[in-house]
Amino acid sequence: MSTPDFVIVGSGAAGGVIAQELALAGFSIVVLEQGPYLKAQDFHHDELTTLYRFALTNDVHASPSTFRKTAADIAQPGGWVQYGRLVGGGTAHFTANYWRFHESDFVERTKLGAIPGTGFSDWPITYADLEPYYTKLEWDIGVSGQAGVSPFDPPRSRPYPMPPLPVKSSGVLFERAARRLGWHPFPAPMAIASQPYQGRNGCQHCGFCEFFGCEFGAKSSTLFTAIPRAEATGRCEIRPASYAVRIETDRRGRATGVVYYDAHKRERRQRAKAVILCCNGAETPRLLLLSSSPRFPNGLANSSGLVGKHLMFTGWTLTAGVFDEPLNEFKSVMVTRVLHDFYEADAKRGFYGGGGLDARFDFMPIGFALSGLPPDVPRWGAEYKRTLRQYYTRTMNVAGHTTSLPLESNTVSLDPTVKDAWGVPALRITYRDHPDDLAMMRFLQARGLELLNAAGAQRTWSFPVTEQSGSNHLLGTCRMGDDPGSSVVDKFHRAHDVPNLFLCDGSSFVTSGRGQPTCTIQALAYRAADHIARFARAGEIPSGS
Amino acid sequence: MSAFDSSRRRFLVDGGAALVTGWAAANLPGVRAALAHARRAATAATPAAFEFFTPDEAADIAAVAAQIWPADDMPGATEAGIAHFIDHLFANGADASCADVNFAIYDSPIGADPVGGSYAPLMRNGLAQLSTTAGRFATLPADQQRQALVAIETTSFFLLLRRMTVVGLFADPAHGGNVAKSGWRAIGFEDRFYWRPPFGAYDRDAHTGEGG
Repeated sequence: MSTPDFVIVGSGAAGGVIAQELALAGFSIVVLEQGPYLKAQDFHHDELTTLYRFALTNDVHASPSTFRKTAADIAQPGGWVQYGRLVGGGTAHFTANYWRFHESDFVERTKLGAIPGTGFSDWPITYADLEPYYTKLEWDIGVSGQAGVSPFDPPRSRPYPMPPLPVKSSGVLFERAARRLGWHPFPAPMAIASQPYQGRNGCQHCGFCEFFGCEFGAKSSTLFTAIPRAEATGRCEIRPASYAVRIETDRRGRATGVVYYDAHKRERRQRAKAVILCCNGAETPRLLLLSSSPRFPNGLANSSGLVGKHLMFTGWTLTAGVFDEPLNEFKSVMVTRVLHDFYEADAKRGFYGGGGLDARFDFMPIGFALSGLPPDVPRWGAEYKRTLRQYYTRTMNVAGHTTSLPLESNTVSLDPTVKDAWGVPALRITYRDHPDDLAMMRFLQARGLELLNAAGAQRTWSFPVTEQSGSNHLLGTCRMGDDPGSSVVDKFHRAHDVPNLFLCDGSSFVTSGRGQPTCTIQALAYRAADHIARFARAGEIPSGS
Repeated sequence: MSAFDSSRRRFLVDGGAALVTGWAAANLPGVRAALAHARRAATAATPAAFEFFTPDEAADIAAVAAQIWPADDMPGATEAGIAHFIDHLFANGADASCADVNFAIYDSPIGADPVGGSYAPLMRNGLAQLSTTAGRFATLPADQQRQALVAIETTSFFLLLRRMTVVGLFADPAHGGNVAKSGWRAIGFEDRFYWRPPFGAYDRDAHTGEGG
């Protein structure tokens, strides 16, 4: 095979989309994916294997990470940084909540002013720049929802292509209570087909979306959408079990290809005219830091010193309520109703932040039995069993999804001692939530409890808000911006320092949004691919030699 | 039939289109073998031998598990085959996958890592300490058993045994516990994996004019 136009590292939310768009535009592509290439028929509902033995995510034993709160501490193995490790990446196993960002998300710094001690900034693009790509995305991959119900929805040029998924009991209770409180619930936008769509099955309501792959292909993962389309062009090869460890550069500082280990841990090399990293907000900066060289002593594309910095997890809270009658929340999709009444930051609260609430049941059977019950219920014995039997079908949660401020001290870096199963320095996470982030979580958790009480719950409880030590939302670590001194990529996702290197995934985020990043990651990917194709056609991507 | 393939089969029976087959054919033999093992262990007139623990140790594990999840009008840990499930974890070197790092999101820490890749020392020492001058734990009267467990309920040993018991109760029966889906049945979880609305009592009247 001659040198392909592009090598893309990562086949998930962004990598799958960019592979599709560039392949359709006529370019040749190799996609390196560290995980396996599973198909719908490979997926099942085995909670033990999937959640606790990492069937679809990075295995904490093969790929350990270390964690510390501040740079003054020595990081210890632990914390959790979770990402989809299979073709389709996070979109294969995600919950499929699919919120667009609002207009304010891109210009909050201008709107609210500086927040001292943080990297709070505007994005170099606006909602209007991204709107056409949100719309294209929703129709291309298939999103179910109902436009025009939420008064807080950002403007959109087209409705959703499919009606919302059928409401569950949690959604009915949530909606009723929210209206009683004067709030504005709306049907959850989900990247799940509510009816047959473009040759894919509609949802069969198996109840195993979050953390699981969809056995029916109804989840609108890149695994079932963008990637098959990319392969159908004959110009895109998906190469699973390929673990990228270094980007190579030539004497002029241009990328020449990617070094990776194959399934047998043999070192391989894939050359390409240009390199696109879509590994996620933890692995993209790690790969850049692993690619240091005499010309790039602090890591590739890191003249700003910001590669790996401004890590944002987004905030997360959970409350619970138990009701008189069975809800049977183990059926169907996780979420059917959402509200955005608290999305915007509000100075009256006394802290920065915003978020959304949703109705869900966030537990599979093992998880609920281990940790889903109220804290005062015995953890074993007859009373434990009685309560679990009563509560399992009658409990719902209200989840809060909130902001994280970008802090330069929250980082992804290379652990100086711990190595992964390939002998490569492990991910080291340094993270401490900003006090405003914790305040926002507590604020929204209180609204969740209010809602559950208004819904008529027999009793409610909440899971404590504490400083986070991990996430599956990994954002901000190669932020985009116009100034090469204060950002890693430009507004088209091109690395400021390397003209044929593009980075597009959660790492590009400037601010965190409100806890649901995937929709925006994918809209960015459509936009990035559009511009990358334009640059390539115009001969504006110089290749290495 | 394994829970794994029931939804797929139902979907086919119900006339679902565009479904790729092959998973069940590829995986059923292994699943069936595991299921058969669990059923033999739970129902055979002569109980299946334990592979890892001594009969005394296994009896104590079974007794602790039965205190964690006692039989009421629904079967308890004994009927769910938990002692064999736990024995099987250790025999297959899978006990270390019950470590805190695996359960970081969904269980409070037990506070002990595997030693040399195994929890066997923690488990064996814990079991040894359960037996007192009054005799092995399994032979004590039920209320004495409960008292003994209350005294150790915050120890890593007990928390590990609790985690393993709960996992065995609610994991897919293919793993050897949850025999006859007795854990799932007790809490009301149904493994159809293929549903139509209404789903619960509160959405009974909510589906007119809805898409999907």
